[in-house]
This record gives sequence, C-alpha cells and structure tokens, in this order.
Amino acid sequence: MSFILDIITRVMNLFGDAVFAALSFFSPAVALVTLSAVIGWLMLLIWGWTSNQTAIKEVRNQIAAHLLSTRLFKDNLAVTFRAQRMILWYAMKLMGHSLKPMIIMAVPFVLVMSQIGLRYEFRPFQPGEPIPVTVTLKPLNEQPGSGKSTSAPSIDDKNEPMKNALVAIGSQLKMPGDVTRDRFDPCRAIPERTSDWRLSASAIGEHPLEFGQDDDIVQMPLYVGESLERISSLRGGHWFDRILYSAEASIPPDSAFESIRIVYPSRDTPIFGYKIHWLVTLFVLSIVFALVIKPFTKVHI
Amino acid sequence: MIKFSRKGNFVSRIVLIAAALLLCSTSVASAYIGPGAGFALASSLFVVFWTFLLAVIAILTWPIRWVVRAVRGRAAFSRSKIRRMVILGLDGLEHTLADRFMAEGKMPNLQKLRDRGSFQLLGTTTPPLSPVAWSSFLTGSNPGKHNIFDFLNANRRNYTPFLSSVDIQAPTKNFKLGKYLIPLNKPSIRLMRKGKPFWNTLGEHGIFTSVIRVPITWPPEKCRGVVLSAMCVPDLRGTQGLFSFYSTRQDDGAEKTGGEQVRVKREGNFIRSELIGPDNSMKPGAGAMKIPFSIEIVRRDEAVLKLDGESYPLRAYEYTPWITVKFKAAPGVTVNGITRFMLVSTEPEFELYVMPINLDPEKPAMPISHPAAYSTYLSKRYGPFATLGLAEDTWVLNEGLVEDGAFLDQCLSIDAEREKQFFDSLENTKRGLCVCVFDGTDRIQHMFWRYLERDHPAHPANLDPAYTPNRFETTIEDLYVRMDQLVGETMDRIDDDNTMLMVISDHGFNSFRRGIDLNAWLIEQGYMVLKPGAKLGFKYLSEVDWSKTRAFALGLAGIFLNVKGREAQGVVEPGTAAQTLKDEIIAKLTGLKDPKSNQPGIRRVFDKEKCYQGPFRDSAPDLVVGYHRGYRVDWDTAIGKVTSDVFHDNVKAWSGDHCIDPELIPGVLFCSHKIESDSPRLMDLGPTALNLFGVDVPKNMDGVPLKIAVA
Repeated sequence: MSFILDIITRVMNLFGDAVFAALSFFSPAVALVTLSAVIGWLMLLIWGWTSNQTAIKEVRNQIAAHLLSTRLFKDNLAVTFRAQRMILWYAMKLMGHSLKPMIIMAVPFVLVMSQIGLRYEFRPFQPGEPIPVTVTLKPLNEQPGSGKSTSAPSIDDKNEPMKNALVAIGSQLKMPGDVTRDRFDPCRAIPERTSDWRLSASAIGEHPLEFGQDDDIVQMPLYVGESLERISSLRGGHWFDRILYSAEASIPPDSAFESIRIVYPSRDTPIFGYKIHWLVTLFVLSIVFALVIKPFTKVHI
Repeated sequence: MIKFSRKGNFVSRIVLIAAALLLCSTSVASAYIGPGAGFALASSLFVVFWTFLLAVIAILTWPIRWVVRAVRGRAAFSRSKIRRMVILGLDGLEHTLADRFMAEGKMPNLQKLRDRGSFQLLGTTTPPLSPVAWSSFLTGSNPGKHNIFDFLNANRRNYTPFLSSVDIQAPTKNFKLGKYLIPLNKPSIRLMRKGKPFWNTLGEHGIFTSVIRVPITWPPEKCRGVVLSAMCVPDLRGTQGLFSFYSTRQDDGAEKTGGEQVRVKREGNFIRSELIGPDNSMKPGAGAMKIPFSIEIVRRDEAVLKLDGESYPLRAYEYTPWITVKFKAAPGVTVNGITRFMLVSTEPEFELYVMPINLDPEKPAMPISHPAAYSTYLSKRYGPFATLGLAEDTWVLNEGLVEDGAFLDQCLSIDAEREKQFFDSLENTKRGLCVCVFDGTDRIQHMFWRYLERDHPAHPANLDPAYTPNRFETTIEDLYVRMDQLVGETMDRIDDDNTMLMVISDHGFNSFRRGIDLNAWLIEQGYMVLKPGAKLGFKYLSEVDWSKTRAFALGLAGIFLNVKGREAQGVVEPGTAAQTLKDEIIAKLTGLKDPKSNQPGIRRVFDKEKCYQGPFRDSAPDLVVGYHRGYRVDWDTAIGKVTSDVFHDNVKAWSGDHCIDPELIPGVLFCSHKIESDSPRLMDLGPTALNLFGVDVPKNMDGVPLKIAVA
C-alpha cells in the first residue's frame, strides 16, 4: 500500500511541479484562476465521457418542458402543481444520473486538488513567527522491536514506556542554525503520544528539521519566506493523508514515528481584492468556466 | 463515454458506492471533491431549489390567484353552457367512406358518437380547398371576408402566382460589417388571411384555448391560450417543402416538383455530399448554406451517415429520427432545422431521400407558435416534430422517387406526433376550447385513392402489368379505422358531461382521374393567345400575349379575367363587358364534356360576384370552377403551364382530390350532443362555439350558431 501510494504521490508531484513551473510566471491569484478554467474544461470533458448524455438530455428537456408548462397553462393550477411534482421527480433523476460521473470525477480530482492544496492551503512562515511542530509516535505495540500485547495493560504500565519512548526518540530534534526553539524540552502528551515544540526561524529558506536518533531519523523541511512552495504540513499519517499531503515521502514502516506535523498558517489568495479560501475560488470559478465553455461543446450537464 | 456491461453493472455499482463512501469518509476529502461534486450536482440542485421556490410562490399566491381566477372565470364562464369544447379536425374525411365503414362495424367509436349525439354533412366552402375551408371555419365567414380563395393567387401586376395566405419580406434595415450584413430588424411575415379567429373572441372574454395545427394560422396570432401554426409554415429554405434526393443515377433532366435531385459519386463504399440549406442572407452572394455529410455503405441496404460529428445508422426504407442540423450563417450565428434521412437503396444505384428541412420547433428560425415558447415546450416534452405546413411530403411519392410505404410511414409518424400534442392539450386545458387538426387523412387519401378504384388511371395495375395486390389496397380503410381509434381515445380522455366533442372535416374526398387544362381550353376558345412562336412547356404564363388575352387560369380553382385597369396589361373593359365575358365562359364551361367518356367534367362555374360577399371579394378569381367527380384542374394549369390537350389522364400517385363542386364534397360533423339545426356549415362552427361559451357572435361573421341540445 505504502509503495503504491509513494508511486502515485511521486507521479502527482512531478505533474504538479510541471504545471506550477509553467504557472510560475503568474501571481498565485492568476494561476488559481487559470487552473480553475482548465479544471472547468476538464470537468466538462470527463462529464461528457462518463455520464449518460442521452438520458441527461431527456431529463433536462422534461424539466424545461414542465417549467414552461407552468407559464403556458398558468390558468390551470392543477397543471402548475403537476408540473412542480414532475420537475422534482426529474430533478431527482438528474441527481441519480449525476452520481456516476461525480464519483468517477472525484478520484482524479482529489489527486489534482491535493496538488493545488499543497501550494494554496498553507503559506511558509515569516521570520520570527512562532512555528508549532508536533511529533506523534506509534502506539508501543506497533513500534519496532515490541511484541504485541495479549492483555490490556494498566494505566501505569501503559504510560511509563510511552513516556520513555517520547523522551528517548520523540524529543530528539536537530535544527539548522537559523531555527531556534523557545524552550529546550518539548511539551509531551503521553496519552496522545505526542511531543510539541514551538520554533521560530530567523532566515528565509528551506530549513531541514531532523527528528529521532540513531537509526530512526525522520526529516521534514520547514519553509520560511513568501514564495508559492509545495508545502506539506504533515508527514506520515493515514493513507488518505498521504494523498492529501503528498509533498513528503512516507515514514519508513520500521520507524517509531507515526507522523510529524508543522502547523503552517493558512494562505489567503485574494481574488479581486477579496480574501477567499482557494477551494471556494476554485469551486466557483471552475463551475463558472465549465458553464461558459458548455455552449461550445455538445455536453449536457 | 464509460459504459458498463450488464454483467459488470453490479460490481461497478459496488465499486462506485465504495469509492463514494471512502472519499466522503474524511472532511478534507469532502472539500477536495467539492468542485467535481458541485459541478455534477449543481444543475440538479439548482432545479430542486428553483422548483421549491416556484412551489412556495405558487402556494403563497394561491389564495390571490384563486380569487382572481374565480372572479374572472365566473365572468368568463358565467353564460357558458359547457365547460370545455373539443373540436377534432380530420382533414378531408369523406362521409360516404365514413358511412360505409360505420355500417361495416369498422368505426365503432364514430358510430357511438353518432348514436349518442349526431352525425351530419357539413357544408364546405367554394372552392372546397383546405386553406379556404379552414379560414372560413376559424373566422366564421365566407372567403370574401377572410381573403383566402385558393392556395395561390395571381399577382395582377405580373401575372405570376403567389402564396395567398402569407407575405414574407426580408429585413429592411441592415448593417454592413465586413462581408456580413447584420439585420437590424426582423423579416416581415404578414398573414394575408383577414378576419379574427373565433378563439381570439373567446380569449377576449377570458376563455382559454389550445389550437394545434389548424391551417392558415401562420404567422401565429396572439390569443389567450396556445397556438401551434400549420399550413403555410415554410421549411427552413423558405419553400412550402423542398425535399432532396441524392442519387448516383444519371439525372433524367426532368424537373422534380417539390424537390431537387443531387447527383453523387460513389468512391469505394463512401459517398460525400452536402445538405443544402437556406440562402445565407447575412453574407450576400454566398448562396445557400451547406453542411457536408458522408455516407459509408456497410453492406447492401445498410449504411452509416456521418453529419456534424455524429453517426447515424441507415437502413433501406427506414427513416432516421429527426436530426437537428445547424447551418452557420456567420461566426456565432446558426440557423437550426430538423430533417430525417432515408436510405432508398445502395445497389445497383445509391439513393438517399432527405425530407424537407423543417424549422426546429425548439429554436425556430421564425415564430411558429403563440406564445413562442409553446413549440419549445412541445419539442422538449415530446421530442422534435414536423413543423412544415404541409408536413407530409407528397411530392417525393408523386415524383416516383420513393415507394408507397415510405410515404405512409412518414404520415403515420407525423400523426403520432400530432396525437401526443393533442392529448397534451386535452390534459392541460380542462376548461375552454381545444382544437386540433390532423392532416394525415387528407394526404393519405390524396396519395392512395388510386387503390380504391381498379379502373383509376393511376391504379398500379394499370401502370405495371406485373402488379399484384398488396397491403396498400386497404390503406384508406386502415386510415379511417385508425382515426376512429383516435376518436375513441379522445372520448375516453374527455369522458365528462361538461365537455362537448365535435369531429369535423373541412371537405370530403373524391377521385382525381382526369385533369382539365383550363388554359388549353381558353386558348382553344380564343380567350387566351400565346406569343408568336411560343413553345409549350413554359411556366407562369410567361409566353402569353397579354395584349390579346381576355382570360387566364392559375391556381387550383380560378379563372381570372384580364381586366383593363386591374391587370397590368388588361384588355377587358370592366363592368358590363367583363360580366358578359364571364357569363359567356360560364355558359361554355358548364357541362364541358370529356371526349374520352362523353361525361361532363365541369359541373358548375361560380361567379365571384354571386358566391362571395365582403371587402376582399375583388382579390378573388373572377370565376371559380366546380368540377365533376373524378375531375380536377390539371397539374400544369395550377402553375401557369399550358399543354396541347384540354383533358389528361392523371397517372400520378396524387390520385384523390376534393377541388370539385362543393355541393358534391361536403365535410362531416360528428357531435357528442344532438344538433337540432339542418344543413350545418363549416363557417357555423365558430359562432356555435361562441354561443356555447356564452359569448355574443360578432356581427361580421356569416355563420350562425347551431342549435345544440345542451343539458
């Protein structure tokens, strides 16, 4: 699974890098609008290929006809109510016809959106800005060298080894000289298996952070600056997180680390002066572009 | 397009549902599939939202609407004796045949209607032609008041025929933009039929009407209700129906009436040609707009048509569904039409028939309904339908280019379209007037009458010694049985005491065995003179010496005098001289004998002064010829051609007709209620409807309300 995910994410990263390299001449806002147009067009194409166009056309015709009937036979209230009943029925049918293309579209679009999300969801830190970092260790019974427990441990039995693990592995952090931590020891939460740091960086750039010791070392870059970087705020985690935060490779399976999270601030990409979340912008603009392009195609939506 | 096989359907559904659940299992994923999902569901959700909004508005405004409707409805129907009136027109239904088939028990529904209510002959118009008769029906007046005397009338300035019901003029204001001419106003489409349809009078009194395909309703007039126009709606090329016939066969050079033959070349299994559309009025000098298409012959009598990026399978003698064709007039400007293709043969010669390109009812290039959205509604609700006035292409059969079955299939499918529209109007008009005319009855009788009479010159046995009786022998009987079933279904749908049903025809039908060339007779009698050296075969009377001609025939029923001061080169003095000439021609023509049978071919000749009253009488032909049974004006006379003989055998498929003495060819009137009046006339039906709905009959109507027993 991990191997397949790595291949998928690598291919997607290459694709994302190529696309954003081409868009690097534009401002982030213009790049987002351009992407929305391309995605709108792609959505229309995929919709046309995957949906039952004949059925959709027929259903839409029926909806339009019943809407018109409310205007043409407005003297007859029974016609109006019957038309509304039929419109609802056909709207449900339209939704039913939408299901298959929607699901088929969802798969590639999650991958594409994750690539866009890597650039637009977060911004790099500013120099001096507090940088929260959280390391999560695997449960003890999943850590390398440990046997699977056969009976439920007591609270004390459970807490002590995890505390040791957090001190021994989870609290080891090496940073370049431009990055400092606000105190030496991290804040540990044993039940959650986490160690938390507050860091700050004094210089712009990509700063490699190194967690763990001996053979169990996991790296994660820290981005400081202004540019549109491919930022993963998470390394490791659930399989779906791997797709969403694909900038980083998987954590090796024999590592004690489950995940490392750097909590980057959200990025605002102003569109026409308004601060709108990139997903909203993309959502609205891609639909608008698709609707604008539609009359020039033979696709029924 | 991804398509799942039936076997894989279950598995694929499981996979899709699982994928949907997985993708929706996290909130971030839900957000990330947002645009895809949004795109997929946006339209349907919008529809749901819009419907809810409409429903809320309808519910909130319902009390107000109820009050308004109650008040207006009460006023509108306060004197009404009925709640609804349904008039089902079966163009050309012949009473003798109806009688016969009812007696044989083949028309049980009309029989039931007759037994419960009434069945009478219905007086028609002079001449008994559909445009004239239906105009009298809808205006309740004689032709002198509605100005329709024939399909064609004569232009008195140049002696050419013109369509009598409508006048179309190109836009008068244009803006030149490069090579394009952008029209700034709409073309003028003027209805030449005068008088007000009786449903407009009903509408003025708050009574809703649904009028479907009643002839001479184009361009559609505003009314309280819906109107779908019929006869005289042109095709996309502006004609009354021009088919195209593509063939590898060497053209015989003969002119094809109502169509054009295009010679194509077969290259291997491919044939490439162009669909010919209307002239491009936006690009002067560019000629007709065309759409290329190709045909790939797959095997004998099977091919694939490729047109505008789409493929359509073709099988011999099977029509394609209606195909929308878009002619590009200018960047971003297209003219839409619909047509159907039919492969005639692939061996030994390739032959393809393309029906006249009808206006697309969904987006008509010219208005064909009132409100304009009504044709769009019908098209979206029931699919594309024939919009051409004379929708059934009789010419292609008359020219012998397709077999009887192809024409019959066309008529049946057009009737099926009409049936849906008619039943839709019954469903949507529970109070008021519904009128619908089926013209398949007229067209089928025109084209298949020859099978009824073994001695008809056009009976296939008289043209082909190898003929053996076939299914077409009973086509007319089948037609009457089918129409009876239509009546039965109509009765089932309106089975209530407050609805009155009338089944009517505008005229009857008879045999057309012999044509009479009136112009040849006028020449023979010295009333018409040709230019010196003129050779027969000319059209539109172009070789007539007008300085010596006193009378000429044009159209299906009329003879015009060449009157000084009225016609451009008139020679007959108006007044007494003209009247004397008319009397002379009437005397000579009445009882004109056919040398072949020694039977009279002409029964009566009508003087317009005696048979028409009203402000438009002067537009009428001076004389209207009432032919005997079996006779009609010759094909060539109608378009101003002259032949060498006065009488001709009619060997064309168009073998039945009704353009004879109106006394011989009345229509029918079946009614669900007892009619107490004697001798009802077509023009009485409008006043009758007004009277039944409690509306005063306008004084300018000639018709009188029939006395009908209404409980």
